[in-house]
Amino acid sequence: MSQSTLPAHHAQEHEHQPSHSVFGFWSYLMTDCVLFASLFATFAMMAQQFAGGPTAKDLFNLSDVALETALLLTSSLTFGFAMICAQRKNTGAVLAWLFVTFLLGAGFLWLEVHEFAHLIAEGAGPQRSAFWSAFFTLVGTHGLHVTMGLVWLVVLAVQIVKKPGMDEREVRRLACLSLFWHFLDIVWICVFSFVYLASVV
Amino acid sequence: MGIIALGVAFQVAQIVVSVIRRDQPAYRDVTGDPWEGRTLEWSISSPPPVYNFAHVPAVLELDDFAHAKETGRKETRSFRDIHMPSNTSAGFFVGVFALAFGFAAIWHIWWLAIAGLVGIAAIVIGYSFAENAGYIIPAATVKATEERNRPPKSPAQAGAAREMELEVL
Amino acid sequence: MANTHTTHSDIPHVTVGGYLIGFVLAVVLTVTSFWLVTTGKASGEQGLIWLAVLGAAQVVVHVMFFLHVNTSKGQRWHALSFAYTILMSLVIIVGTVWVMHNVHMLMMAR
Repeated sequence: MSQSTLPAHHAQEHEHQPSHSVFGFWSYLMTDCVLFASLFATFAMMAQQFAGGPTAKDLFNLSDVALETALLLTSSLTFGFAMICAQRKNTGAVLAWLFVTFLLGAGFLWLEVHEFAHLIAEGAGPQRSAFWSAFFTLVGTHGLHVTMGLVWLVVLAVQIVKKPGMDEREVRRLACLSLFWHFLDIVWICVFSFVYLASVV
Repeated sequence: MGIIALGVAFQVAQIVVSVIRRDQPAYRDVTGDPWEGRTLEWSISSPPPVYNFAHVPAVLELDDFAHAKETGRKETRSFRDIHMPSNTSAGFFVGVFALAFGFAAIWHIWWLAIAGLVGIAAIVIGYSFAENAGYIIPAATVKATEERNRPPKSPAQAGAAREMELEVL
Repeated sequence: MANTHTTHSDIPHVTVGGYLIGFVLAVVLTVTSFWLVTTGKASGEQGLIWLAVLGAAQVVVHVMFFLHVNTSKGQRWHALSFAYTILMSLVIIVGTVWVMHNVHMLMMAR
């Protein structure tokens, strides 16, 4: 048994395996999912611990949450359109849809920051009670992720402007950001369901 | 206490003897596999070349390297160009800024904490703009490196080395 | 897995229709959740169950239509690792809730 059993695609000069970066990034996302799971578990434990202070029912504004949800969900759709344009190598359209995605994501963040400021002003900051600590940690971590995503989006857009031909490298990075962005929307589904809606049910 | 001192003495003695006798044949290993290793890390030279493996190992059995030695299985694939990743110091500097951030976070030195985070972000983003296409090591260089690092080893040679060792003692 | 010969590795092929269907389904599920809660149609434990079911359904929609995770050759590893991750996440969440609930009961905590 002296022959190797590797497939015979050795026609190329050097062994050029296809990139597995997208799966690698997906694996990271899976660890991020477990991280959020532990934050959700913590929040579940603190869901009724208001320490005699302001409660969720007192202060949650569901119409703001609905608007945030709409913005984030739509941004997932617009990012999808950007991916389709990337597939068709339509660089201008990619940048346009990325820009729309950025605006929607930034809008989401702005609403969230606004909400946090309001909560803190009403005496429901992260130190007020276990509930609010858990709330700010969970929702804040999600918001930080969205912020990273927006920074990444800008950086990638600049790189695409510098390389309008969009090599395998740019497409791969778009694919990774796409996974990240959709994943954040999935986490948000759980946030609006189990944090906001569940607290006022 | 005495036993420990004895242990230390033997350790020192072992190092001294190994250094003094380093040029004797029984003490010289040029194969990277002085102890009849069973797993793949013993199949390359020590220190290893920058590309680690000249061929991506084809693992067909448990303890594949041991099996290959026992059955006399040889690598028949020819040497190929190897695409190496680019070298970078970015990781080191991320570490420096992370150290600063960690220290600052513990002692609540907020300006330093922010500076640390900004530094990390700047390095990571800056690195992403670099081409970093890597470089190619031509097949001929790989071949030369392999031949220079160690002559081919056969089971017979290992036995011969051990016999010489006994004679030296 | 190292032997896939596709030139674009595991970047799936995407369609406008797929995204639009996913978007519409997600909107429907979201609106339903909000409606059930804000009109008081579902309250208490029943409400939580509805939220969980609708939320889970929307996660599936997202995973299928936005993340394109399926059992096709290029996505198989994504699907497997995702299934494992969900399992682990459920262990963490359900496990925590169960254990801490028992702790509270046994210690007669507030």
